[in-house]
Amino acid sequence: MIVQPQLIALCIKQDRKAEYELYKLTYSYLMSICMRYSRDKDTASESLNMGFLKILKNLTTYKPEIPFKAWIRRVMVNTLIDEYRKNKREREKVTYVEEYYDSSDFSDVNEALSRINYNQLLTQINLLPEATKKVFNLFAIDGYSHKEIGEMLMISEGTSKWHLNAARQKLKEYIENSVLTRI
Amino acid sequence: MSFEEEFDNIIRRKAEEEHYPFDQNNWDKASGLLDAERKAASLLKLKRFYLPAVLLVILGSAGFVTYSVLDAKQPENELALVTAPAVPSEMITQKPIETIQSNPETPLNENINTHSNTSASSAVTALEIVNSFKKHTVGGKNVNTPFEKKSASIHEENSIAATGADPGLSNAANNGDSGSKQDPSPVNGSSVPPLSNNPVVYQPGSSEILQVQQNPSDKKVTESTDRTVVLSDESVSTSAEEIISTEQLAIVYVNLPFEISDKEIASAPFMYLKRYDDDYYKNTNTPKKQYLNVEAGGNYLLGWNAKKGKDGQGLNWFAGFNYGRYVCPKTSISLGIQMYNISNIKQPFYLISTKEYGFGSKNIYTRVSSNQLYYVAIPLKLNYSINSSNVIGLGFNAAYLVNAENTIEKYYLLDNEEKSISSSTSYNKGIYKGTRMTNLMLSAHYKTQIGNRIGLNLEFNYGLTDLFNNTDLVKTEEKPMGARVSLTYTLFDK
Repeated sequence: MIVQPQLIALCIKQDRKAEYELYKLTYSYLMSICMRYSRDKDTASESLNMGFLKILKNLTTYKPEIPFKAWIRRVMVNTLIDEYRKNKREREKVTYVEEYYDSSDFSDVNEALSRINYNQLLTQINLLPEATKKVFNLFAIDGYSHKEIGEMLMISEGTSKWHLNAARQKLKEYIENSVLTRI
Repeated sequence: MSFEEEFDNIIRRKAEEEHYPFDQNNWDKASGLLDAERKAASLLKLKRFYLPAVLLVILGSAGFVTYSVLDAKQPENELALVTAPAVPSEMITQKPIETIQSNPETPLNENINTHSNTSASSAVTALEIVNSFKKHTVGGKNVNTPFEKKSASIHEENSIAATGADPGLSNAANNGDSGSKQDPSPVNGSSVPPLSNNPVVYQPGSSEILQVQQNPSDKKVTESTDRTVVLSDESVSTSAEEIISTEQLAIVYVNLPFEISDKEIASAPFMYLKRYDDDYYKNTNTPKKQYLNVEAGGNYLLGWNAKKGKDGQGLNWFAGFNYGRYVCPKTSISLGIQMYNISNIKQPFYLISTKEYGFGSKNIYTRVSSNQLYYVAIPLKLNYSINSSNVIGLGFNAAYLVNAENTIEKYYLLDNEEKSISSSTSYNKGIYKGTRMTNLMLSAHYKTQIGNRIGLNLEFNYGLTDLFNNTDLVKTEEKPMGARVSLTYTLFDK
């Protein structure tokens, strides 16, 4: 995905054709983010549109020294997290358990994971509890720290770690059951 | 790389490799959203511009209507001068007369002659006598009545307010029907033109009858140059009973209890002087113009949502002065000066982490909490009196931050360590960079008088400003909203 500065400049001027071009260019990347955070494709599409509006609205604040891809990723993730925070019904009260899983048996799982289809994996990620899914996405895929996640989701760092481990464990169980048993 | 990290990397790589084909329908939806948002934004811009204009128009209209209603209570005052009743032409003299002794036995001309020789220190001309006369009644009838009708028509024709001796009435006076006597003897050395059926032309600046014009056919009041007004001889039909006797005229004149300035004399033919109202001096209920009160009370803030629950919630204090001016008897605008605080802030608004490298590295986290903020404010209020003891209104409060009390916490974390190795807490006063210097609030208030000078004021405030400009790590909106209860003491209200 290469976005020319001229295209950004035209988007700032609210040129509809340029906006369309930018949408087309970023669609796949933004959709991949939205799909991980949303329940289904429709919700992901809605979130994508919301995020894209935010991107257009904040283009004036974009600094060229930051990679555009990283910038739109951040805006998109923030939009998704905002949506999550607004939707209080989705917020789950998770009992915080200070428990760490043994990671010694991840070697087999990782091997199996590299062979697994992404869509299957995505389905499993989407089956995770909402807060757990958010933490896993933010930490494992989008590269946020537990501290940042804690502030974004208004949870403590410990809770964030717990969610991450819970997510990993559930995914590991799935991989073990679906892939390793077949082997 | 640990297995967990590798696990995450594989998933990340898979997620990034995934391709989603472009969906035109999605763009159509996004395009629609974009249009809607831009339309809403442009409307908002218009609102920002038009709202103050609309408010201004509403306030202006309200003020105008209120003024008109008040003004409508004294319509005859304004029109009265045009309806000046018959006055013997001898009364119109350009020289001021100081005092006229009331002597019913003496004819008016003699009175005038007598007093014209005295010094003219008091600037009262006979012209004002004409003015003062309009309210006088003779034989139980109000002399004004027939003339007012005429004056109204004059007013409608946009002619200027003017006075003149009506020839018909003058005739009657000449004939001695009302007991007045006419003597063509000179007044102040100048000869007085005889009264006739001809219209009398009066030149306002000179207070002198300039000429007599014959204009029998025209019944309208016409305006000529130099604001000379001609009244036709048939324009008013007045019976002899309605003519005021010269003796009464003299009495009224003598009883005038004030001096009249030159300015008033100059404008006398064109406006009715309120002081000629019999009740003018009796009316002590003059409208109030201004007030000053001192106010102090408590302010309960509802707080705002912060990371660890509600913050800023609790009781604060405020005190100040309000100076108000009435724009009309029921409406006033007040401007004041206030001091207030916002306390009970416990959570940090500023959180920053820095890395320090030595043997290994450690993270330094600094948290700043401004626990108490002190403001100086200018409250602007629009007040409406429901009755003498209840007032409602809307306002705007602009405040400037003058000081703050802060808590600074620092703690150190070694890399890959969960617990802080050391921490320190300090307190100071001053304003940190992330704190906004202004606080703007909208208010609605209700005030009730509980004593002669003491009032109870209830006010609801809605904060427009985010008090802190947070860092990326702390994202909360701190807008103060709450209710104030205060006592006001009126220093003056007059």
